[in-house]
Amino acid sequence: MTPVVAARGALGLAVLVPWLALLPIPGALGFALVMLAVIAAFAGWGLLVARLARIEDAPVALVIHWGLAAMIGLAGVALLLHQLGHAVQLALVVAGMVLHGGLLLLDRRKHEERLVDFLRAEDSRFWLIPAIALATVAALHVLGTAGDVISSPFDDDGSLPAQLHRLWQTGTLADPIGLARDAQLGGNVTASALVTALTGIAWFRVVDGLGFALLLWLAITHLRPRTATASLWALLLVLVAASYPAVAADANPRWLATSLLLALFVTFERYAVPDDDRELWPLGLLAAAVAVLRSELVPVAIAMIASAGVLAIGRSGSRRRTYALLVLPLAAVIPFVIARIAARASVPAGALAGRHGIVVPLLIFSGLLVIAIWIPLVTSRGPRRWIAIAALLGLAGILAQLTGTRPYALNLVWPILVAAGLALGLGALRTGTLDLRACALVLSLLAAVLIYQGRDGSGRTRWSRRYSDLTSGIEYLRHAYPSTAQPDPYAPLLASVPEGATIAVWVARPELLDVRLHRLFDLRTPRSAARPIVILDTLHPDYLLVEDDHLPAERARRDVWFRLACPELSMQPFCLDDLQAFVQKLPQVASSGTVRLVRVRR
Amino acid sequence: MTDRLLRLLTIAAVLGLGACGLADPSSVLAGGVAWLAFLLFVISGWGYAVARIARLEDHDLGMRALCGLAGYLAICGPLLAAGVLSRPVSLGLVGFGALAAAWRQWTTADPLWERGLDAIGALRTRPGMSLFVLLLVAAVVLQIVGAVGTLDRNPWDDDIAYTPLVKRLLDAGNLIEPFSFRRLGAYGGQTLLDALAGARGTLANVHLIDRGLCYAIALLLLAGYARKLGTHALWTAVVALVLVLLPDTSINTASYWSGVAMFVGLYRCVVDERWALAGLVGAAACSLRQNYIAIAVVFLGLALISRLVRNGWTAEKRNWLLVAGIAALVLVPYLIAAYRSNGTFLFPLMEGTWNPSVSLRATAPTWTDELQFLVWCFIETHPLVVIPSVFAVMVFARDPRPSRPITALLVASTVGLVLMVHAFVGSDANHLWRYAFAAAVTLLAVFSLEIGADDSNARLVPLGRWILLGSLLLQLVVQRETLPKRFTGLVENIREARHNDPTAGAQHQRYARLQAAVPAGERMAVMLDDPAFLNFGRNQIFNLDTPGYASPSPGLPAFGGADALRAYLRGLGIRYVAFVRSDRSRYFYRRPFWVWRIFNDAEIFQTMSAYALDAIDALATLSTKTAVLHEEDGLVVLDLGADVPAPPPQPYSEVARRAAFVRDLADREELHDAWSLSTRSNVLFDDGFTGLVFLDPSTDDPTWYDAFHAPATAATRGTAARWLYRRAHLRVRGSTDMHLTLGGKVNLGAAYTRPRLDVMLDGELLATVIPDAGGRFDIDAVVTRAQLASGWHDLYLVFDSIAEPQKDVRDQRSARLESLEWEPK
Repeated sequence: MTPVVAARGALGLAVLVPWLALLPIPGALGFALVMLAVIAAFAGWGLLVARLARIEDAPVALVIHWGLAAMIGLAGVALLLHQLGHAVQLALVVAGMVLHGGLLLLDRRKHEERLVDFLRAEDSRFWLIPAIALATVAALHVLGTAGDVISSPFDDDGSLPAQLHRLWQTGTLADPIGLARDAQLGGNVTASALVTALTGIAWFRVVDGLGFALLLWLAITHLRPRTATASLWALLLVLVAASYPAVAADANPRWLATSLLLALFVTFERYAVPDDDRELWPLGLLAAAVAVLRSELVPVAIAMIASAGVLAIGRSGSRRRTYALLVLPLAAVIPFVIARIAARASVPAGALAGRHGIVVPLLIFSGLLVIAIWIPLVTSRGPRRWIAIAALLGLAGILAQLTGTRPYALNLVWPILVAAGLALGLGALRTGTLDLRACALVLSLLAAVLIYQGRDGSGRTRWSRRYSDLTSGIEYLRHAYPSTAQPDPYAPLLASVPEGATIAVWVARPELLDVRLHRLFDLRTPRSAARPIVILDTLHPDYLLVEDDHLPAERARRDVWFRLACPELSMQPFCLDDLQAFVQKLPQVASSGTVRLVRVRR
Repeated sequence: MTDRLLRLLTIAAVLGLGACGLADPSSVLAGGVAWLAFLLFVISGWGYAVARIARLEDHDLGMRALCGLAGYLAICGPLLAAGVLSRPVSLGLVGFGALAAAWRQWTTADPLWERGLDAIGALRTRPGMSLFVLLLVAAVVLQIVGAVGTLDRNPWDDDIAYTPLVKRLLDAGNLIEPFSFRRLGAYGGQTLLDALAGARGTLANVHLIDRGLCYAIALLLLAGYARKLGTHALWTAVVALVLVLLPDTSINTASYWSGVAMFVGLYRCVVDERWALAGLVGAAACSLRQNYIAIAVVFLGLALISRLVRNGWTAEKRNWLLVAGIAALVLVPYLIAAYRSNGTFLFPLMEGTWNPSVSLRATAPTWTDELQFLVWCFIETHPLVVIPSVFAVMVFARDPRPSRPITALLVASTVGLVLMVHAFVGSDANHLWRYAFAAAVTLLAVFSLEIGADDSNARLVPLGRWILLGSLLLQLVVQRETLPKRFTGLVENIREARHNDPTAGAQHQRYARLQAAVPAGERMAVMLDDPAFLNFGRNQIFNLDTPGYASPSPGLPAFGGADALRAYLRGLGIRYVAFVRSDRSRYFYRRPFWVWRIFNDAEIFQTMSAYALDAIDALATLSTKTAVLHEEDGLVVLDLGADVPAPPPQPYSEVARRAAFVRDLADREELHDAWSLSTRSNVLFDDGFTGLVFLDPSTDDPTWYDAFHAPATAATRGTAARWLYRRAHLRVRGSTDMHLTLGGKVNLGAAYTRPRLDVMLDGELLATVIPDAGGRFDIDAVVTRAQLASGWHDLYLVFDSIAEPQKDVRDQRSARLESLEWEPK
């Protein structure tokens, strides 16, 4: 087979394979095809971004991240317009797939030439082994994570599947209590919605597995394994990442955040000093995506934009460049901000009492940050310095909050560290900045120890155990969840409630509630909302839907007196929490098992 | 004149060691060590003879000894097939080796005494290195002497099968054991080697060959190769330390270090392009363990193919013919011997006397089960914990030699591992790495020595060398933890061995009295803890080994009752049966042991338990129906009688009878709930559960203030349960409408909630239940025949909120399943 034929075949497959996801193929293969379709959709939007920005040399892995960022930005606009329902989510994904196929065909000669050059190049074979390792590990993580059920569906802002369900049904996120959006502007929910548009919400955990795969792909691309040494580094990177004892405890976007951050850093390194101002657009899109994903990452995003601005100082057309830098990020972030403000304004301020969020300190911090970057640093000594500064500022932002009343999620330190470490370390390895002769044994030993540490971990962090769980997850892809839509277990209770009534809910499976019929507020927000009883006093809902859940267990673990006095679901008055006591006083409208509907407003 | 005298003294000294070993067979330590040293001499003599026949140059001691082992196995094959390889013949072969070695000592330009002087000279010129080597040698000697003095045998494998096979060979000259599961699975090469130790008149030194002689040969082979390659001293030292201090993973007397020796030898043959010798050594390796076949064949095949691609068929035809021809010559006698014994020469592809109703694999494993096991085995490597990082380096090594031995060995080892994973799905990683020990150690050792050579044949980027060195150092750090216990154990073994084997005499007499009850020359079947104490020359003895797994046609009538067993044995001309009563068995035939295992172990052992219990029960019943000729200390001899009625027809298949037997047993033992929670013919417990436990009311439903210490031994009776994870997965099947009932409890003291439980079949919701106020839940559902069409179906039990994300779900005892019935409606 000649390189030309191989290249044409590969292009043909790239165009056709994503559409196989539309066939009703069950199990892991069907799910894998759907994930390929999602990646193709990202790539399609990314190709459009690259085309508009007139960038032709961007690696595929980076283009995919640009596409994801662009989709998040577009989804923000739809969210603001209350149009991000399932149909629009699907439309965005399918449009991405169409763009992917269309742009590949449109530019087929260019892509074909690149592929032929790649296949003919003597050093291309060094890609082979890391690519095989990456494909294996990525398949395990993506498919296995999808079938996982152990990590909590709650992140800092509330129940992720419940919000995905609300988005699916209503096209927006109008519950400022269920999705308080203190820890994010909605980016995680939006990204999850886009990824699960084809699969269904039940598999929402796949998002982070996909993030892990994209991160590794981008990291290897950044390393550019065109020598045996670089290829070995790439393989070690895959092994170390695979063995790293990370266990997801909740729905926080860890790997997706890391992946987008790395894409931001790599884009900055490659295009922060552009020949054409439009080359800054992907940077802006990525900064916006990172900013809306988690609030902890906002300083990094701002620092990157500000740094690109610093690099523009003194060059011709700096004002135009500043516009190019600012327009897209603002256009992508502002809809999320407005949607948040609108949602929060829809409830009495008291329901959010005591929770000012982090917007104000964030704005202050960001302002100081911009000043800090712009004033002393007028000339640049290379983009990696700015990446390091941005990462340090991001870390400082998180650590500075530790002394406050509402600390940032400390585990978000890790994505920043990993992404910056990869961007700087792999870049240094690739360009030869790092003197390998001096540190090869240390790095080799470190890699071997890291891999061994993963192997020798205990419990669920042990490498073999994690991968065993992942393969079990693949098994569950077949039909661990009901093939038909799960019945709404709360519908019979809510049948008697008039349409449009306001209902506060505290249930175990809020993702099954029909949010179209009533105005529902999910009280079960772990960190960001006021205490349920305060919300109820302020919100004055018509009804309250309550279900026993595991929270008394958490209380029992933390409170020794509670354990002593209230064993096993005791209903003694002194054993009841505020909400339970509140419910006890109200007339019961209906009940089923452990779920009760009570009337609040008389 | 002095030279001649010293050569003569050397020969006399070594022969004297052999005489010491033979003169006092009861001396475990001194006699054993003397015999081991003598055997090394003998085997090197065989190697010298092989080299002379093949017209090869005289190798280093390791390679010579390896050739000797292979040559010895090649000569023994035809003798085994002819059934004449008894002790006198073995001693004759030993004598031949001794003569050949003596001849070499007399004629060589490199006599042993000169090597000794060289070593003393090195002590003066390189004292530091010499001291290190001396310490290393001391550690090796301690391990070898400790192995010689180790009397412990594995009662699971060695006592009931491996050692009796050696005894049979020495007594009767053959390995005809049609009932033996373990004989069926091997060609017998390792038994032949073990017989070299037994030939001096004792079976006490069961570890003398593998952990003694073969360990020494493997190290000598590697040392010789390092010297030949010119491997840097640092690399050689690190590799030597890793190998010398490697944790002992051998749990029985099967092939471990003999495999390492064979594979290192095979590798060296390929590197040296000695194809005739490669065929000989490859075939010898195949005779040791069944799973070595794939590795040896793929390794030699790839090496030859690499050359073929480069040089073409005309140039390579001779090499192919040499390898294939000599390997066939060596192996064919073993195949004949295997066929004579078990009616197969290619198990498991050809089943022979294997019971087709039994499988060593889990029932209906899915591809994800295999993937899970493969991943587990790739990660949990043992005892070489650094294989993942070393593997990453190996794939980058380039081998410019025509036969590409490193690449070939890497691929062969990987293929071997994957095939084993496929064959043993449901087993565990440690077991698999025991089988893969030889290939893994060989690969790591030769690769490291190649890379560490100043003028290396294998090409690897500097980073790869660093990673390899880092991995070896890490391996050393990790394995240091096991050293104190291991060396303490060795010293204790040596101390005990000074008193020889204290129980052997009494046991020998007990078994002699048992055998005396059977007329000489008569056939007898035995199910005993230590058949090795029997005289296999006096009677034609059939060792039942693991009952039910292998038997001559028409097949042992398992689960058919005592009368059917009696009729079957009489049909084979076996009138006498000797067995150990369950309550007096030392290990393998204890009934409670198997009753526990049948509900508590992996599926493969559950099946084994059923057959063992059936055999134990059937023989106990027979002892009440037939004449008991002898009974002493639980050892029983039965006379099945001359006239036995025809065997009753078996109404159902053996699998169906086995299922019925297990259920009936559970009911009789008041373990029905335990049975209901076990994998069976129509229910597979896949994942999401702990193993079976019996609840202890004092610890299993704790309230927060309970402080307790878990009992040292878990309960074996009581309420059976399996703790549930958040989501549990079973597979079920049925050919008619089926009734599913399951019950369990949420531990409110731990969960503080009553989570919803959804039960789904193939994604269709069957039932949803919320536990009652006490935490109990029960499901009762009917699954129609239409839902159960075509094979196995997935049944999921999913709780909505049992897991604590910050905790390992497997440590939580929040909910449990106490029974699961799946019966025709």
